Amino acid sequence: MILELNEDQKMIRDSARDFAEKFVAPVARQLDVTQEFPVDLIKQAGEMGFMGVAIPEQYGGSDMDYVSYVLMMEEISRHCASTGVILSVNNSLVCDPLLKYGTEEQKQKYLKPLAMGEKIGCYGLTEANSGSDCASMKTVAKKDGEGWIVNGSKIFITNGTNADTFIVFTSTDASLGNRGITAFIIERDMPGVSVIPMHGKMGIRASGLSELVFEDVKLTDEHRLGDFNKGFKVAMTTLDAGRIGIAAQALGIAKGCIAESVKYSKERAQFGKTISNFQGIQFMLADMHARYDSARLVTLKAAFLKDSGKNYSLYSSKAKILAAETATFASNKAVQIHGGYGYIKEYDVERFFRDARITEIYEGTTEIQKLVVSSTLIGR
Amino acid sequence: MSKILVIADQKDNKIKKSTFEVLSEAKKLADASGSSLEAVILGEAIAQEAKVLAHYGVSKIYTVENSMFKNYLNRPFIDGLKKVIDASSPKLVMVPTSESVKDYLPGLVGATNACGIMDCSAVSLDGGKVQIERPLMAAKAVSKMESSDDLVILSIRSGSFDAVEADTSLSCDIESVDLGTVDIKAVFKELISAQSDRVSLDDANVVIACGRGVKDKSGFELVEKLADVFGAAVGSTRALVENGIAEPSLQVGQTGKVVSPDLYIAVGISGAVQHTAGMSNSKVIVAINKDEEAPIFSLSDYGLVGDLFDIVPKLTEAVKELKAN
Amino acid sequence: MKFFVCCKQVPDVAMAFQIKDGELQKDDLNYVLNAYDASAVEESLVIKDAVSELDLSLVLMGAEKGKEALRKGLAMGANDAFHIEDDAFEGSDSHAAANVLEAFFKDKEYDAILCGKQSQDMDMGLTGGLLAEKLNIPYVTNAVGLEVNEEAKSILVTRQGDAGQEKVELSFPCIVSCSNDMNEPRIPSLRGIMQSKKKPMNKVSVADLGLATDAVGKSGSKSTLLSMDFPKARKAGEKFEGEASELVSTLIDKLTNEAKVL
Repeated sequence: MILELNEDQKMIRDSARDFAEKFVAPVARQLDVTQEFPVDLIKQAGEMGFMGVAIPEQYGGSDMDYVSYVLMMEEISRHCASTGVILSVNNSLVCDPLLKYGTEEQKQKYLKPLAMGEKIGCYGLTEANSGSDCASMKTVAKKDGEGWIVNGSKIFITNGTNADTFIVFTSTDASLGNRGITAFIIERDMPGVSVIPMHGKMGIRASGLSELVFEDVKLTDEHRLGDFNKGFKVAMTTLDAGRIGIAAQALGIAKGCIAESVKYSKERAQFGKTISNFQGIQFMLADMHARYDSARLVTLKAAFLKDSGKNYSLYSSKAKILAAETATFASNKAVQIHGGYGYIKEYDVERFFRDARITEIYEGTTEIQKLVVSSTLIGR
Repeated sequence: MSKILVIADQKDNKIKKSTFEVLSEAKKLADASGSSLEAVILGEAIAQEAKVLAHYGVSKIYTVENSMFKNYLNRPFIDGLKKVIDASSPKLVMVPTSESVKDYLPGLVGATNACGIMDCSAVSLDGGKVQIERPLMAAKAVSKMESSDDLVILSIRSGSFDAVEADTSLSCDIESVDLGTVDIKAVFKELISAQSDRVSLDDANVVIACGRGVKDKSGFELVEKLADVFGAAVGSTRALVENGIAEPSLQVGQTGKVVSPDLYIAVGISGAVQHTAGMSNSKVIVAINKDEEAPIFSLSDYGLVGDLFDIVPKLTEAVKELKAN
Repeated sequence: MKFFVCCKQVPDVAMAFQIKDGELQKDDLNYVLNAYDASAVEESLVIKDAVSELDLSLVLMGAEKGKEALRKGLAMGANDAFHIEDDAFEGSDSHAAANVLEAFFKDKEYDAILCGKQSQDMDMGLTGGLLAEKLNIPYVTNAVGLEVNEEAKSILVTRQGDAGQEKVELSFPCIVSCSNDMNEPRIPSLRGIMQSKKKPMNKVSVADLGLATDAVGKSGSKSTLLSMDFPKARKAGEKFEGEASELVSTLIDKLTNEAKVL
């Protein structure tokens, strides 16, 4: 059993860390305040190869593995979880299904510019009244001769404000429930497509959250991603891998909380010594780090299983449960260690606290992940 | 022990104060080990200034005078010093660290087949061995090293030793050494000197240094005004140099200058180790910073927690008044 | 044109480290390409971007894991790398390192050798100048800018000196030791990392260089590192809060009557 990163993985981690420290960290606080999508930063990240980490070179990607993707996500999210989720959506929710289900033409036309970072993608599954229960979706694609006409809307769409390419799930036969869903590729500039920015989020505020509205959007069969009425499978397998990215994002947030807390506890003096001398603080730091480390091992195992071509969905669910809970736990403790200063915006942990919370919610809530895990224990 | 040779550092034909620190320590080492102490100075016109070296108990002074020393190039220093080392044959050579010394010393060490150790903060002699202390790991650690080589050349970190009072009654032999012809493969083109009438960082008794807290050029000018009433040198952190607010020659720290004035006032400097590595030997450190948690306060003698834009102008007025009386 | 950059792999000094019984605890360290060397690589690549004919090789002496530092330089854009690897290097000082590099460069063709002005772990700054003296070629340290004149076969170096920035012209071949104030080294992209795997990494041993093992490592060194420790911390003094004019009069009083520096 070898629990060590290989040379490529270390190099990618170091590059991501250097990039994050140099370009992400200086703007992170501002992004949180303005809620503006970091256009230039994402362009730079694209040039670094962060927009299609595990996509083969022939499709514009960096040809690395999922472990590398986890490492990149963690380093970026350590400073800015908004930037982290933007990259995560492009990599695992958009590039991945295009690679897995796309035709050669779709890969050339859509995947390549997305993986190269020339274009940005988003993933439209959630609707106002349809979250985990996606069979209840109201966005409909109606057969129209050889093509399709899409009507409906999607909400809470990360990257929506700036995305060029949308992966959109539609109901193509409501009577069949999950077996009546079909995935399509929709382009931003198609007639009938509109994007409405959504503001006022608690955390990850610069992620370009939007509502996508489709009014009589005409698609040809070349826009269909995967087989007719097989969209549920596209959505679920995509989210299986996506969870690894979100787990990595959560790990990054936890890592940031630990780093800031260690630093602060060594600077802040009370009763004549720095608070790092007090066991109450030491215990919190130890708990944060122990949980971080164990969540990280499970997340890396999920990525490793995916890289090995093995079934990873159970591990990606476990990784997301553990990493997300670690992020909220660590951010909670980080604020506590910072005391009053942790409650004001001048300190990063205030932002980390708000950013952490979403990781227990999106791309499948912690409760949904627990159902996945328990079902393998007790059978369904 | 036989002999210790000190290389004097000079600027505009005036010996720098760091030389006297090194001479004072070298004299102590020489006396304790029964060695003799000699000194060498190189420059364009240093015959007169050379005599000052005798006031520190030097038994012989070598001078190397040549117009080639007008503009700094390493080759004339390497050749001139090699000649003097051959003539003097010391066991130990000590020289105060400067950018020029950091440049020519490696070549001199190579040319004399000596053991070179840069930037020492303590020196002791133990029989035939030279033992030193020096900072390393970005000044986050100190090391002890030793060498039993026949010739050991050390550069000495500024502020490591106190200079003793000069004894002007002392004098000694002065021998002029001819530089001869130097085979030069490098051409000095130009000097872009930092235009300033202020005292240089190396020699200043008072340094007013500023960091990111001054924000911009106008904040920097506030600090310059304070330096002027003190007759002080201005220093800066790397951040201000990178922003183009301060001249590169003003940078104090790990990658800039190491200074040790009597008074160091850190204005709007957080106190990262990269900066403090260059100033922690100062005698009295004052910090002005609005962040009461700033690490600079952990090494300052007097810390003022407050807005530098309020404090610095008032301090400038107060010092001006004090000096006027 | 042919340039070499001498590289060293050093512990990341930005990270916390431990010293126990006078020794640096190596297990927890993260090793990186020396930042000053990275600036030398970057500067060469800037020249390479302008003068496409520049062939850039890296050379590093050190342990097996040193190849990670070389791979970073290759990922940044260097053409190939030489890794002088030998167990005999343990305990080398600058003098021993210069012996090895002298043997390496003896039969090489090059226009310039760039190196970092010092290593971040030892902060010594001797190797470049020592090597130049051994190879009998001119050198300049603490470079903050480079301009290559290919026709004149020379390089105009701007160095940060004592009195300001000194511009010095060196004819090829020469050695320039570089400051990190010279540039911001590029961060290797994933594409660069991928390509670096395919670039030549040449292994060289002490025997290949015709060196006796006692010319290197501890026996080839002139100095010995005895021990390490953390520096004695300066003690924090008094801290004052309040209104600006009060703070100023307190300070003036302290500096005049207590510290007696005014």
